[in-house]
Amino acid sequence: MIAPSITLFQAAVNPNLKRKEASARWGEAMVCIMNLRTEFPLLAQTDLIYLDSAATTQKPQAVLDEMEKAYRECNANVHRSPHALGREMTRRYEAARAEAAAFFGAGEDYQVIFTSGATDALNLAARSFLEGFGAPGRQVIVLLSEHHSNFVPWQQLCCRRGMALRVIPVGEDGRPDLGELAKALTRKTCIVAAAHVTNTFGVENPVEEIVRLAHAQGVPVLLDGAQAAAHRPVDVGALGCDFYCVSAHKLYGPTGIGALIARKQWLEAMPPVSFGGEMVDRVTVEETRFAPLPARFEAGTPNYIGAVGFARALSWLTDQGMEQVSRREQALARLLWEEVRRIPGVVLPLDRCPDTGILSFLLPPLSPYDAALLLDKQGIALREGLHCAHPLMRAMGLPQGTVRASLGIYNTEEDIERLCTALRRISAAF
Amino acid sequence: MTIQEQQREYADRFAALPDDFDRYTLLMQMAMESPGLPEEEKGEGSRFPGCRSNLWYRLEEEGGRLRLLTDSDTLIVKGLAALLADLVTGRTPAEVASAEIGVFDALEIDMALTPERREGFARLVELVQRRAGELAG
Repeated sequence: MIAPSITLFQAAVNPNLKRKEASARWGEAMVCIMNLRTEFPLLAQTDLIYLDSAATTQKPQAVLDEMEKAYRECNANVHRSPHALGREMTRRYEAARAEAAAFFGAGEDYQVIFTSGATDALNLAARSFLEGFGAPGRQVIVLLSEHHSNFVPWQQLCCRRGMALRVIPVGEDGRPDLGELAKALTRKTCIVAAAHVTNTFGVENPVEEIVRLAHAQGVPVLLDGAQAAAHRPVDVGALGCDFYCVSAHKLYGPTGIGALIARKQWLEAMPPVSFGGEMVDRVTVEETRFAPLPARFEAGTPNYIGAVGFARALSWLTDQGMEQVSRREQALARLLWEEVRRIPGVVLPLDRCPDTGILSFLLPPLSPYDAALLLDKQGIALREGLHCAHPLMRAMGLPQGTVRASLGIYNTEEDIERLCTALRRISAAF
Repeated sequence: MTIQEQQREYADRFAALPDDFDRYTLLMQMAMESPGLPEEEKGEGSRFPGCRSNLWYRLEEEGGRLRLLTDSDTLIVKGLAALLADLVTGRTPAEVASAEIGVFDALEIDMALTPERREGFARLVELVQRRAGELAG
């Protein structure tokens, strides 16, 4: 391990630095010497090589502690509570919202709405936005490479509303054809929906360009950030997108909580689509007056403990330094790609270095399922199949999908070496 | 050799291997060596509907003996199906219908399969034995 220079530590403890930058400097220093695996209790007690972080991430002790502490110290329903427990839980819940806003660069123009995850956020955005702005004859644009959670809601809602779904193809590099996108954008387009990073091949879509093209036509853009948020700094204001959806469980936080981060200008004009307690101001027999943002879109008792865990995961990531995390993971992604593609018998359907730590490959004559089983028997956990991306897989002629290795913050060069050793053993047997 | 004896032979062969990796590899290599079905037969008509992987089969009787041909796009399922085909082919319908086919439990192979595949495979064994029973009269 490389020891950090004194300069890095001195820089990190400079009291004149803002918290985020101080954390970034500190993170840079610490990640040099720390194997983060030890902070994850599940990984610390096993030799398992976990390469399935795109499916879900493992949780650091800090997140587990924060949630347990909230249950132990102040578990109570949030908002409008007359008692001290409720007030404290509400404080922590709203602090979690502020933490999410800061982490994602959501300034005053944006609102963080807590959801049960990215899929819930995507469905909420699609249903509410189209109820407000969709109409028969209008169209929604999505990319062929989308995860089902950012494809099926739009497809189904368009079908039910007499709207068109325009699907932009991807090229051999896995990126969308921007020429086709530009041609597809018309006055009939009401929204463009795209992944920030794809879950199949780790392609970072040219989202700034997508936003520029769409906004030039007055069309808002929704980004599915599920695979991006834990792996690179995200600033929704800088990206300029109108909606950004994330899941906590994909960034070292708990399951059952996520967020829709959206421009207030859109949210104010979008009708709520889920109704009940918490989201109303006044209800009579004849009518209901809805609460202001954000409550209007958070019907029912929220997952407030989950929100606390979510926020702790975000602050934990901030402490690691997202720039450092991103650089390290991109270096590991390159190593993963370079080492795996050299193994005899391995086929990469998309042979380019992934932009993030997600690598899809094949090991013919084995099916992806066969290969994943043999890797499991060698202590390697990863995923196989169509990865909830049937349209892309079909277009690429991959009826059984791929084997997918996906990196998390706890993965190391040694993990990649173990994967390659395991792959070579399989290759030698067939 | 009876069906029971043949199953015991398979179980012993797999148990002699040092680890699960070797057991699965053997099964997959057996799959690659099995004749399978011609491409033109791998359609909806011969597809067994109960399995998550594509599994095709043809069970026929000739001269009082059964012949089972199987194929799959997943080697582990193809290998298990090939074992079943090996147990069944050349035997009388009555023998197959009345046998206790438990080799797959002995192999402990099915524990690695997803529940859908495990259940699907169990239903294939049931189907073959039921059809054998019908052929036996």
